[in-house]
Amino acid sequence: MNEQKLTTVGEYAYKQSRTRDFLKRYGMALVFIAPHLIFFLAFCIYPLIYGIIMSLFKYNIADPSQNEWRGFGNFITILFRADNIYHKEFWYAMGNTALFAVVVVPLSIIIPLFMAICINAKPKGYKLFRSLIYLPSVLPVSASGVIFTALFGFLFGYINQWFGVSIDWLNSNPMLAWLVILLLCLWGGWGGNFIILNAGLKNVDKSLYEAAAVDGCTGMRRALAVTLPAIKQQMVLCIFNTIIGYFGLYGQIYVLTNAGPITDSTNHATMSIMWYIQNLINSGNYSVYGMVSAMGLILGIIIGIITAIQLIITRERKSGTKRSNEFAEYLKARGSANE
Amino acid sequence: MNKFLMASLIILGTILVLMVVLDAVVLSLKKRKKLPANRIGRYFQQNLFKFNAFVFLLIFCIIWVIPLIVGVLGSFTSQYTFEYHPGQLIPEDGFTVDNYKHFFNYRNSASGERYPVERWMLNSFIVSASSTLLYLLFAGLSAYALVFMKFKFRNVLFTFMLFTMVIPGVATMTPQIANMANLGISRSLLALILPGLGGVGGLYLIRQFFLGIPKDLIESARMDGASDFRIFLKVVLPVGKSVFFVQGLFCFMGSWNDLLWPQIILGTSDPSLWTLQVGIAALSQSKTANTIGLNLASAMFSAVPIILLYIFTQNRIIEGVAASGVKG
Repeated sequence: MNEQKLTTVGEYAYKQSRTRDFLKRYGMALVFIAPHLIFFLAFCIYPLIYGIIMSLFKYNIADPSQNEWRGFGNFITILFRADNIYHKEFWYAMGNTALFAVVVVPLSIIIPLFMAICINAKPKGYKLFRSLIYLPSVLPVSASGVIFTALFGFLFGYINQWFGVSIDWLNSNPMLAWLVILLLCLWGGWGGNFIILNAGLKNVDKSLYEAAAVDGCTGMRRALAVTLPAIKQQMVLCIFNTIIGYFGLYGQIYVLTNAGPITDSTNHATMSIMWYIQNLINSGNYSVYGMVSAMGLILGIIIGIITAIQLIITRERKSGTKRSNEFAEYLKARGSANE
Repeated sequence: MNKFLMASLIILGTILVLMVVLDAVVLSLKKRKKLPANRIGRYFQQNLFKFNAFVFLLIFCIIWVIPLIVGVLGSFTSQYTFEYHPGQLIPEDGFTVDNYKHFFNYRNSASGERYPVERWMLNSFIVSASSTLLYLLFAGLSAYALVFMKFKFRNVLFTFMLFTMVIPGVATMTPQIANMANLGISRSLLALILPGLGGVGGLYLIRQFFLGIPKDLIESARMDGASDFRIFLKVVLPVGKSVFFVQGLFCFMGSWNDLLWPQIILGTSDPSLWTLQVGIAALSQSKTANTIGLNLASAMFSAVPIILLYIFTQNRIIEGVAASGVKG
C-alpha cells in the first residue's frame, strides 16, 4: 500500500516534470503557431477533406438527413454522361474559359513585356508611366466593370457616340460581348505581369549585353538570345499565374454581361466556369452541392496539373544552374591543377 | 464621328508617323556616319530608343487613362445629359453631384426600401481592416515560431503548408460554404474574415523576410532575458515593418476588391449585410440611362479608397509585387 502510493507520487512527479518540460520546450512555440494553425486546419485542410466526402453524395445543405450516397456518380455524370444538363453546361463553360484563356494569356504576356522593355529604357518620367500603367490593376473589378458598361452601352454608351456607330456590344452577339470582356481583362489584368517582368529586366546582368555587343549581336537577335533567356523564370511565373488566374474569371463577366446574351442555343453565351459554379450555388437548389463540389474538385485537379507542370519546368531550370555551377567548379579545379 | 475624338486621333497618329520618320532618318544618318555633331545629334546618337519609348509610353498612357477619366467625369454628369446628349465628356449643363445624392437615396425597385449604402461601406471597411490586422498578427507570430524557435517537425509543417498552396480556392469553395453553415456563421461578416486567416501565401512572404534577420539579434535579446513575446514586439516587428506593411496592403486590397465569395456568402435577400463590391455589382445589373451616372458614382466610392491608398504607397506595392516575382 505504502509502496504503491510512493510509486504513484513518483510517477506523478515524473509525469508532471515531463509535461512541464514539454511545455517549457514547445509551449511557447505552440502558443505562437496555434492561432494560424487552427485557422489553417479549419479553413484549408478540413474543407478539402469535407469536399471530397461531399462530392460522393447527393448533398443537401439545408437538410443533411436527405443526403444520398452516390459514390462516384457525380464525377461520372460530369465527365461522361453526354445527355445530362450538368455535363453539357460544365463543358460548355470549361470550353469558354479555356478558349478565352488561349486568347488572353499570350496578350497579357506580350503587351506587358513590350511595356516593360519601354519602361526599362528609363525615359523621362518613367516612374509616372509605370504607376499609371499599373493603376487599373488595383481597381476593384466591380468599379472597372461599371466604367466599361458605361463605355460600351448600347443607346447611351460613350464608344457608340464617339465613333458614331450603334452597336449593341453587350446584348446581341456573344463575340462582341467576349470582345468587351477581353478589353476589360486587358485593361486591368496584366499589371502584375508588367511589374514582375520589369523587375526581371532590371536585374539582367549588364555585362551580358556588353558581351553580346562584342560578339556583334544586336537588335532583335540580342532580345531573343540574351534578354528572353535571362528573364525566363519571370516569364514562366507570369504565364502560369495568368493561366490559373483566368480559370477563375468571374467578376468581369458578372458585371458586364451576367453571362448573357441569350442566343438560340444557350441562355448563357458568355458563361465562364466560375460563373457557372456561382450560379448553381445561388440557384436556390439546396441539393446541388455534392455536384458542385465534384465540379470544383475536377477544376481543382486541372489547375493542380497546370501548377505541377509549372513546378517541373522551374525545377528543371534549378537543376540546370546547379549543373552549370558544378561544371564551372570543375573547370576551375582543372585550371588550377594545370597551373 | 465626334470632332474632338477625330482631332485627337489624327494628332496621335501624326505623332506616331513622325516618330517612325524620325527613326528612319536618324538610323540612315547613323549608318552613313553623318549625324550632326551638335547636342541634338549626340542625343539621338545615344538615346534613340529612349526617345521612342517616351513617345510611345506617352500615347499609350493617354489612351490608358481614358476609362478612368470617363468614370470620374461621368459620375458628375447629369441624367439629362446621359439621356439627350450621350457621349459628352464635359456636359453642356455643367457638372452636378446629383448622382452621389441619388446613390445615398437609391431605392430597391421591387420592395421600395432604401439601399443601406453607408452600411455597405462600413461592412467593407470592417471586413478588410479586421482580416488584414488579424492575419498579420497570426501569420507574424507563426512565422516567428517557424523561423526563430526550434521544435520538432517545424520544417515538415511548413513544407506541408506550402504544398497545400497548390490546391486552388475553387476546389474548397463549396465545402467552405457548408463549413460556414455548420459553424452557423453563413450570412454574416465573420464568414468573410475567418477563412482568409488560414492563408499560407502571406506567411510565406513574412517567413522569407524573417529568414534574413540575423539570428544573433534574437539570441542576444534572449540572453538579456527577454521573453519571446517581448522579442517579437520590440525586435522583430520594428525590423520587419516593411514586409508587414506590404503584406497588409495586399491583404487589404484583396479583401476590399473581393466579389465572388461575399456574393455567395451574403446572398441576395438582405442588402444591409452586403459589402460595397456586392452592392455595386447588384446595382450595375440595371443598365438604363437613369442609372449610368449612379453606377459610375457608386464605382467611384469603391475605387477612390483604393486609388488613394495606391497613390500614397505605390512604390511599396510595386516593390512588393516585383519581389514576389524575382524570388518566387
